This record gives sequence, C-alpha cells and structure tokens, in this order.
Amino acid sequence: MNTQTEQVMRQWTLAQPVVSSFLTALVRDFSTRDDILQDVAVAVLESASRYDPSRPFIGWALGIARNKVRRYYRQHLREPLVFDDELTGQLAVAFERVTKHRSQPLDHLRDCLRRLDGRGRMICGLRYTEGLKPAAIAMRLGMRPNSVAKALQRIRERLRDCIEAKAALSEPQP
Amino acid sequence: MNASIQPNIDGYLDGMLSPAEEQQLADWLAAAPENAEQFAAAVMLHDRLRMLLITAELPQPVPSAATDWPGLQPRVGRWATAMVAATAAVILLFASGVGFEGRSVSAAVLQLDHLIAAQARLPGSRYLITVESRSRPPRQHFFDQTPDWKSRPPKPPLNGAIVHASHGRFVLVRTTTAGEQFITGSDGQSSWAVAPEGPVRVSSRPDHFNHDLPGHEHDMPLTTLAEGLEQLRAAYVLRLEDGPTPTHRQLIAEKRRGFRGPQRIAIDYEEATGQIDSLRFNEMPYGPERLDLRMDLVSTSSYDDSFFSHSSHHSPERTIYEE
Repeated sequence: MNTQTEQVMRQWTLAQPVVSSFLTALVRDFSTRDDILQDVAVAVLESASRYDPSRPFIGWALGIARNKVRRYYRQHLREPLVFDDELTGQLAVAFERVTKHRSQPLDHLRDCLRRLDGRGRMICGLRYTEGLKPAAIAMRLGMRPNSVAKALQRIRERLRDCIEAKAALSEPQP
Repeated sequence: MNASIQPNIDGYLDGMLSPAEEQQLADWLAAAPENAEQFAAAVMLHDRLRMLLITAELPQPVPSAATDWPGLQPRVGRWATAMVAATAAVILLFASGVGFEGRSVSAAVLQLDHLIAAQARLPGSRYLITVESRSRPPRQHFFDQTPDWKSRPPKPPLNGAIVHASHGRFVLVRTTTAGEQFITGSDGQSSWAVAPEGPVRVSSRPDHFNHDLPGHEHDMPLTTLAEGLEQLRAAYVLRLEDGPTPTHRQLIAEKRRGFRGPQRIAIDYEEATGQIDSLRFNEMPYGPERLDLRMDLVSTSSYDDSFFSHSSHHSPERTIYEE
C-alpha cells in the first residue's frame, strides 16, 4: 500500500461518521445507508490516487457519497429523493461545517444515554438497534405511531439538552 | 437554533412527514445555511445514536415481565403465553381492522395460527436448505483490504445444509468446500459450534452461534420456525393461495414497509395437519447479500434430547472451549 493510500485510509476513518450522517440525511433507512456507505468506502479507497491532499478530505468524500446516492437510487429505488441535487449540495457543505464546529459535544452522548429511563431506552433500542420505524414500534408496544414519534422527539430533545449542558460544563472557564 | 422546526426534522428522520411537509422542510433548509447546519447537527445526533446502540456499547434494556411491555417478553419456551397472546392479537386485529384488508386475509391470519400451533405439536423436523440465487454478488467490504480480515476463514456454504429443529432447539449441518462438516446447534439452554478442526466452542447463550445464519439479524431464524412464523403476524401482509395438491395450501407473506426481514415468504403446508412441506424466502438478508432460498422438509421425527448437545457431534477427545 503506498503512502497516498495509507493517508486516505487514515482520513477516511475520521471522515466516516460525517459521511454516514450525510447519507442518513438523504436516504434515512439505516440498512440502505449501510449499503451505500460500503460503496462509498470502496470508492474512496479505489480513488485514493486521485485525491488532492491540498483540498479538504471530508468535502471530497462527501462528493463521492453524493454520486453513490444518485447511482443507488437510479438502480434500486423507484421513488425520488426528498431533496433535489442543489439542496443535497448545500447539505454537504453544512455537514462539513458542522463537523468542524459542532460535532465535539456528541462525545457526551454515551453518558447522556445512560440517563434515559427504562421506557426511553426501550424505544431507543427498537428505533436504533432494530432500525424499526414508529409504526413498527407502535405495533410491538401496543401504542399509536404518533405517540411513538412524539416519544422519540422528546428523547432526542432530552439528549440534546444533556449534551449541551455537559459541553458547557466541560468548556474552559474564562 | 429554531426549536419550532425540530419536530419536523425528527418527523423526517422517522419517516412520519407527508410529502407536503417534506417539501416545507426542504424549502426551510434551502432558505439559509444555518438552517441546513441545524438539520445536519440533528442528523448527526440521530446517526450517532444508531452507532452507539448497534455496536452494543451500552447495556441494552431488558424488558421485564413486571413492566408495561408484555409484547417484548422472550418467546423461547413460552408457548402457552404465545398462544394466548396470538389469539388475543387476532381478536384485536379483527376488531380494529388494522393492517388487514379483507376476509381472505383474515383467513390467512387464522391459518398462520394453525401453522404456529402445528409446529408446537410436531416432534421435530429435518429440512434441506437450497440457495436458489443471490440477488447480488458479495460486496467487497472496506476492511477486506486488511490482512486480518482476509485471514478469517470463509463461512461454510448454506446450499445443501441440513437443519434439524425441534421446539426451539436445532442442529445445523453445513458442508465446507473441502467436504468436511461444520455443525452448529443449540439445546435451548446453550449453543455450540463444531468446526472440522480446532476446539469445540460452547456458549451459555442459546443464540450465540446464530450469527452467520440468514435471517438471524431480523428475528427470522431458519432454525426455529415457530419463532420466525410469529414475526409474520405484524410485519407482513398475508394471503392464502391454493397449494400444489387439493390437500395442500400456500400462505404468502409479503413484508410491509418499515419492517425488516425477507421481502416475501411462501409457505407450502398440508392443510389438515399444518405440517410445513417447504418454505421459500425471497431476498433473505444474509450479511451484505440478499438470498433467495428454500427449505424442503426431508422427514419428521422425534429426537433424543442428547441429539441437540454438542457431545453427540464430535469425538470425546476434542477440546471444549467455553465462551
């Protein structure tokens, strides 16, 4: 493996979470996201020799991800993406900026998750471990889909508040 | 941060927005870069949640019988509970009409109960697995590039495998490309794997060696048919068709959107006894692949309890490694 490929692999390890999030924003379904993420990873590695190190790596990887999403939708899915190509480009820029400035507080997420009550963790488990949508969770738990969606909203809100509070505490005092 | 838009972002990620609401969200995103950044931050939280929970970095909640979540109690070994719950579910579904489109579908639900009950009565079954096609070639994983990944032995082929199943216990016999047998199984209390060489691996978890079985990750294990059939109740649209003979019928199950599992399952069974003669799974998830496979009944028979113990499938001098 040459130096350029090694460098790309190292950078990809750091970029993968943001590329994964970007794909989730476009396709939403975790299993579809996983499929496309693998395609992107392979393409990144195969294109390593074409990467220009003077340009930001994340932007380059997000560009590959956009192409892979387009191709995947053409080949596998009949319904169009919710966001058009122009907006997808704007979102790629937004993800790149957020990674630079706002992704650090997510490191507190693990601690915040532990604070969720049993019901919250149960719903989170069904949504994120099993990848079920609110309608499917509702059937499992005997709830209404809207109630599950509202519960998920409240859980995320609590997690966001917790993360921000922890981030504020860990910031150096003036 | 605009807090009023947050429910729309959550609704989008959960697939709960109407097309008009999705368009409103798209318009809001396009209106200002800071809107797109707020959205990106929300998606990153959503995605990190998935990553943390799927990699089991956190202890998973364990539903208790004393909690308000009866639908999540383990099904293994709880046939009486399952039957009562199944009957109640059918009554409730008929009353509400949720998810079922007509009388023929209702008949299909009753036939599903019939099949589940029959699996409980049958002593044990032996099925032959045939992989009919793969919907796409095996993917090249990014980490396939590393020597460590490459050094792992390939999975034994599923095609031609024999599965013996009886009341939550199973023995799966696969034959490697070298013609040797690779056997995994569970006696309902523990599970084990007997590879052609090396120590016999035993785990106190009954599902530990299900990992490379198709359907396992979507609660549709091929080795415990009754459990797999239970999953059809909520996640699939059911219908009945005529079978190959006047005494046989076919139950077709097609997956609903938002659920996981094979796209379509066709079950041929004898109407009077509920004995399943064959099952055909379309697009059964199997790692990165989607398999079309079928299971054909070879025989029904009673098994000695010892058959589901690993010691019945290897010589006594083999080393046992407990995990």
